[in-house]
Amino acid sequence: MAFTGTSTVTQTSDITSLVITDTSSYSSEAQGTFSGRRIYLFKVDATTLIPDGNPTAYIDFPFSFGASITITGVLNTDYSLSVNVVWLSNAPQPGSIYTATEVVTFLNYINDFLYGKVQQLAANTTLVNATNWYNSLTKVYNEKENATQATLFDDQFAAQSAINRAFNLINHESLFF
Amino acid sequence: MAVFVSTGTYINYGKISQFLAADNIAKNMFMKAGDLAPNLSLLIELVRKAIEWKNGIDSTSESLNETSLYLYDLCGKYIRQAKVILNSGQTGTIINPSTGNQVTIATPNPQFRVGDPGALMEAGETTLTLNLAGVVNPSLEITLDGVEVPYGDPLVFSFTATYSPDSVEIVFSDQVENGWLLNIHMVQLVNV
Repeated sequence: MAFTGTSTVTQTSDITSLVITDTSSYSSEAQGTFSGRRIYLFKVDATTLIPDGNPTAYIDFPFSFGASITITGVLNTDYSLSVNVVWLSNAPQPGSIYTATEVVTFLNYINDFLYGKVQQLAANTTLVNATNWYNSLTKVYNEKENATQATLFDDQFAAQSAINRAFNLINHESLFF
Repeated sequence: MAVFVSTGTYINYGKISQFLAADNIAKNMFMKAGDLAPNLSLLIELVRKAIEWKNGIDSTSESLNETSLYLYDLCGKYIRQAKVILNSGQTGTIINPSTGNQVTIATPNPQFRVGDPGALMEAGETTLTLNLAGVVNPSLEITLDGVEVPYGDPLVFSFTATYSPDSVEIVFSDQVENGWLLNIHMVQLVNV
């Protein structure tokens, strides 16, 4: 049976970090036949997101790390990323797939902003009657939902655009809220 | 006294109420060409998802209490129906009103013959303390040789009971005698 590289992306409670787990089966091609794994976190402009001080455009994910790697401190804002994991085979086999790509959207900063607004609402329930305030709130929320929906269709550009529109409101909070 | 409701339960109330509100708004828009709170469903959804997110990354956050109560408040008239829907098809839960804890009902039934080995009382005693928490006040019934013992009757052999959170103290009006068969019934709320 041919090798097919697969991976998943999750987050911890630290919203600046992400965890990538290699879920591939190595029954057909043992880990010893690979020289390593690389992770590319592509942004919509085709540049890659890397931790501070990382010397390459990719993040090394050696087999000595085990099945998972936690990449800390890279998500300083929300992104829609194309997460690409590449397996470097020393003896590539016909039919095997040595790359896995997934569009993943991180929305914790928008969620954090929305939760802050909900806290304000809970403390002052009449805010909901302030038309601008409420409309801006629902706009941010709708853009977050847009980003989520776009991700379901692997549309990284639409997701990132929605994030940018939400951040336009968030970054000009004094104008919109 | 407040009854503890988990954030997850509030979130479930929000999910159901959001649907009920949307359904009601749609009906009113069609039948009455308007609704007094046309944005309620969206607001419940927004607040519910924000709480869901916060609960997912930091379920110990103290702010969740206030925001969850706000969500509950938003659910308004839909909350009764949401509770019914949430509990339909499931076994219900019982809340001890004095503690707010979820409980089940137990019916301890100690029976002994005075003077027998292991009996809870010996001849000549008048007081028996049962170290059972959550005995419902008043639920104690005692039979002596199959006949019910009256409560607090000064004219005949009777008993009184003092209920505490962790025990119940029974005081008989006279000393018990060897060979008496005492059977004690009660209802107990046991924390789950």
